[in-house]
Amino acid sequence: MPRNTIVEVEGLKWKYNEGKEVLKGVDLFIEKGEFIGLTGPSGAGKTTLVLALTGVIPQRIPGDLDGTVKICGFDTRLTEVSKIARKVGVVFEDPETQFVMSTVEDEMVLGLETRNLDPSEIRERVSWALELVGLDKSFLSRSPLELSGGEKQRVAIASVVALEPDVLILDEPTSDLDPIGKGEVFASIENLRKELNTTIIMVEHETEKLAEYSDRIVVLRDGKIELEGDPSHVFSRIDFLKKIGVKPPEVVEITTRLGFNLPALTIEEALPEILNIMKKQSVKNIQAGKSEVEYVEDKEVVLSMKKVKYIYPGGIEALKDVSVSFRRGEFVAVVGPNGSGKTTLAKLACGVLKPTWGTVLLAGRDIKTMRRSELVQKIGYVFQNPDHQLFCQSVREEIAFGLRIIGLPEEQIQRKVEDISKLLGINNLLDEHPFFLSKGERRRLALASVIALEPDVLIVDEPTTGQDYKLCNELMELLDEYRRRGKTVIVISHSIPLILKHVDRMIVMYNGRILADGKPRKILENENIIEKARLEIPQTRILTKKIEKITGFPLPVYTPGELLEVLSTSSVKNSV
Amino acid sequence: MHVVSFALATAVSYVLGVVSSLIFPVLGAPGVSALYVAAAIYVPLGIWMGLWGALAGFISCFFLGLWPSGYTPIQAFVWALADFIEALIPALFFKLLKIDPDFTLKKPKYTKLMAVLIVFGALLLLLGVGVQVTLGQAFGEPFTTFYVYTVYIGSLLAALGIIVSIFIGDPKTWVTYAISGILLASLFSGLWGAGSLTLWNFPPPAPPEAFYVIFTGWVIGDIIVLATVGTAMLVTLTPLIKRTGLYVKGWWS
Amino acid sequence: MRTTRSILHEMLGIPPRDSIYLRLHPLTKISVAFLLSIALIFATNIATVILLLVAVTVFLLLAKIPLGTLQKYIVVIISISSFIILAIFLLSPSPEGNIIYKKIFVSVKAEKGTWEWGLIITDKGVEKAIIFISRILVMVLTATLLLGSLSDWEVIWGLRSLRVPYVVSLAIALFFRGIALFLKDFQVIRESMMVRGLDIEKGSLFLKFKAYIYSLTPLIVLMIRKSQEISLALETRGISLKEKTSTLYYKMSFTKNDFLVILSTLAILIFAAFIGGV
Repeated sequence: MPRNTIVEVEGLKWKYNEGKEVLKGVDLFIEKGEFIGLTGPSGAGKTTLVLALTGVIPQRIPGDLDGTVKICGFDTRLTEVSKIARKVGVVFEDPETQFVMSTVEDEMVLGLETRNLDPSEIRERVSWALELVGLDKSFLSRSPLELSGGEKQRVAIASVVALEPDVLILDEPTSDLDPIGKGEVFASIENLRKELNTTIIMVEHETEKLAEYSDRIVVLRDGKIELEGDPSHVFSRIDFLKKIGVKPPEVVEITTRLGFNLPALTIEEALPEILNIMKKQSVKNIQAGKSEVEYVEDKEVVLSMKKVKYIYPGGIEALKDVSVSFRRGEFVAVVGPNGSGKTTLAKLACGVLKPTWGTVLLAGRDIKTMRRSELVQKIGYVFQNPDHQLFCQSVREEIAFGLRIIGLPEEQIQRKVEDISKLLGINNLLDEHPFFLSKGERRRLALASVIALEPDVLIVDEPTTGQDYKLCNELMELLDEYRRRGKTVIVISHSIPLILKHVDRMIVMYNGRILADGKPRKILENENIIEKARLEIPQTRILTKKIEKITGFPLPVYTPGELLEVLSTSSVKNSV
Repeated sequence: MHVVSFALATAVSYVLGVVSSLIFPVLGAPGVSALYVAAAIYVPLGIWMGLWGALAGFISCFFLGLWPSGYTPIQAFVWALADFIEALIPALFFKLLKIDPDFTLKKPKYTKLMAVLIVFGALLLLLGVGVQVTLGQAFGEPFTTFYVYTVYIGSLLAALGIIVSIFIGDPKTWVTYAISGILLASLFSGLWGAGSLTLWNFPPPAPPEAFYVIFTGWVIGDIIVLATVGTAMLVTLTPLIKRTGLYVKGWWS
Repeated sequence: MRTTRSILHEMLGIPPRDSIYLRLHPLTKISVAFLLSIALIFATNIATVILLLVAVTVFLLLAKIPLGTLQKYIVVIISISSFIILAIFLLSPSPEGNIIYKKIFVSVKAEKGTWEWGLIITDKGVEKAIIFISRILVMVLTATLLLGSLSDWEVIWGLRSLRVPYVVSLAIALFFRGIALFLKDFQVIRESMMVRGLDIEKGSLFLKFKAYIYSLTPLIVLMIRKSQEISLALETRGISLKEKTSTLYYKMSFTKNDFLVILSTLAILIFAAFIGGV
């Protein structure tokens, strides 16, 4: 073993008490200073591996461990977790659960006070760590809870970085962040690496970022390492990765399929060669662009909001004079930065909030005149955090909950429970307590419990956060299937690639108003809207925009498939 | 993890205490809710987590005393001991008798019957004793006869409620809960609570004349909450608490 | 001294204005509330009560705590005042003093005499009611002074300066954090119940009760989940129960103002004890 190996995992197997085996023989060796990108489908065991690296498994969580884990020279079975923590820092997905104190400064000082350091040295480390993550001293007196998502995560990183760990492990640190937030977090980590040569292990679904920053990619699936190697090598296994639920970076997919010797990891790497190909193929005047599904303009309006305004107690004007309608059979995405009013719009639509001004009409009726039991059969809302809406002791009871409130006979309820649970793939969990389901399963349960009532309008808030590519697609397809039954589906999401694939209308919100409303591709051609609303456009489109700038002719394609189609069509035309 | 869950459980108790005092108030006694739902959190916490649960009740009630009730720190401290006692009593019974709480329902319908019998039994008992203490001793008949009848009937109903609890599920668990977690917990916490509001505190916020009214409201309110919401909490969450490792066999761990 | 949001500011959203009182050592502010609480024991006559009312009002003015804060207590004050009056005039077994007004509602001939129950207003009863109600005002103002001038940060660091075990201050920090978290969660749970057809604030008492019970399960589940996540986060930051802090990051010292305020409050206490008739 090379002398600078900082992580040694050999034959690691782990089984939770009363659970199935999650890790089934993992071997992993990491050298000092490496940036390891750890990815894989949901339920692969990534977080379990993280916990094993910190010693929390097996010291704090009961279960059966086989194999060895050594990190920074510590055997994780024998060395106290708090001692390992002096060398290994961890940042989890949800920064809020990592905050204990009322100010940023106190949060950062928390771990330092136990290190036998002088207050002046603590102060120095706090300033240094804050600067490293790109935050200034004005943040010190602020409450961590008042910060934006990206700022929160950076504070969480700074709190750990101030402890000067040799290894920094980040478990999906950007899953809840908008594109700007994601960029800020990655930039901070890159700074850290440059300055301290810290070994980084990052668990992520964002393969594009991993491709850009990682030295090595490890793909975990079903408790084992399926693929390991440099990013070009790993991500070029396009079909395999998609099959197991990992979305390869779009640029890698494009360049792999184009037959590059070494697939490009970034747009900058790919651009010259693609331009070359296009030059050789004399690709001009391309009739590119997928035609978008036509609006269902002849269908009746099921939900309309007229000049709606909403002011929260405390004075924040979350929605400013919004008028919008939704028709039967539409699949609509509502996008926008955090705080733009998306969730407020959804809550007003389903009657949870009453507008300060304006009216909300459901099938022509003012929702103020409707009883709650009537309303829930017309419009359903699935919250972002499924834990907020699971009330029962079993999956079966949860799905039946709403059906009992509206007074359906028991036989019909049980039949619906069976049907809906099968549709959402949770029929094998009917007697399980929702607490013990995975996050993805709980999300599907929350969806099932609302769909059971068959509302005419279904609003789903961020259904794909933290889920792998395959599950995200399945979920969106499910929603599309629901829509095809003559229902209207409204999805609040950050994920533009998924929106482009499934949705026929997009509403962009910004600062409490509707910035744009129309076909997604048309909206995404507007640079102002993209910038204002902080939308993350697909890597393919960023690439093609650069191509457009250089070549001067339009290439409005959004997916690798479309670009490849364009390039291959041109080559066919030219070869004829 | 117990310290963390204790701190968060205290916060939950406090939040529920605030919300329930505002939605179900006993007008006249700040912080005393007709239906003090927070009791349904920290009494089960006492059974699940021993002294952590009792402390959670105490600290949440202390802060409830400060806001929104408006008691001084000393008054709030003394008053909050009522909730400490309330969570401690069932914890004492379960831990000393070494009963592993199993709130699985075998006959769910009996829970409602148990609740109804215990509530009405306790109400009659309290009424009877109250009449005897305030009127019967000084004036004799007919108050004494009223007292005798109400106490007998009340005791009978309460005893029947306890007997019914045997049939709900595991007898040891349910009988112990009915006696210690519903009846005794409410009684002793009511005694201390009402007493600290009217008789002994530094100083008592309300006049001594109000003791019996506050005591009766407190005890009945808590019996209703513990017999209904508390039972529901224990049935629903005991398996979860045990599976997640939060359950404490001893007093602290 | 760091100025952060007071506890009342967190709960009610009413921000305090910067003042000398706000900048006192947290232990001073806690001591003032504590000493006033003791002084209240001696508030057995109108003179003492008035003294304490004036004293605590002066402190409130010094602390520049907005009067809006008291609005939130009005219902409490009115309710308990009404209760006190009713208790004294309706429930006293043998009212003291000269009768000003008497109306009997129920009269029962008992074995050992006639029991009468009704409204009996006496001069001593009125005095007693005034003292109790005024004491309530002092209580409420003292609690407002404490919560309106103290932040959770100060509570934690104040205790730390007393070298209270690390785990205690951590638990208190978590408690305050928990309140904010669960208030937010409770609101979302309430909304999600509405979306499933239950409204916790509307309908009969029975329906409210039922809705309430349903809301407790997700709240406790969230509590358990957050406990696990926070414990994990703390452990992986090297913070454990047995930890002893080697450093005290914030050093707070008492100033002249602190001593002045504590001495003044002590003087008030002694004077109250004197005129309260110790």
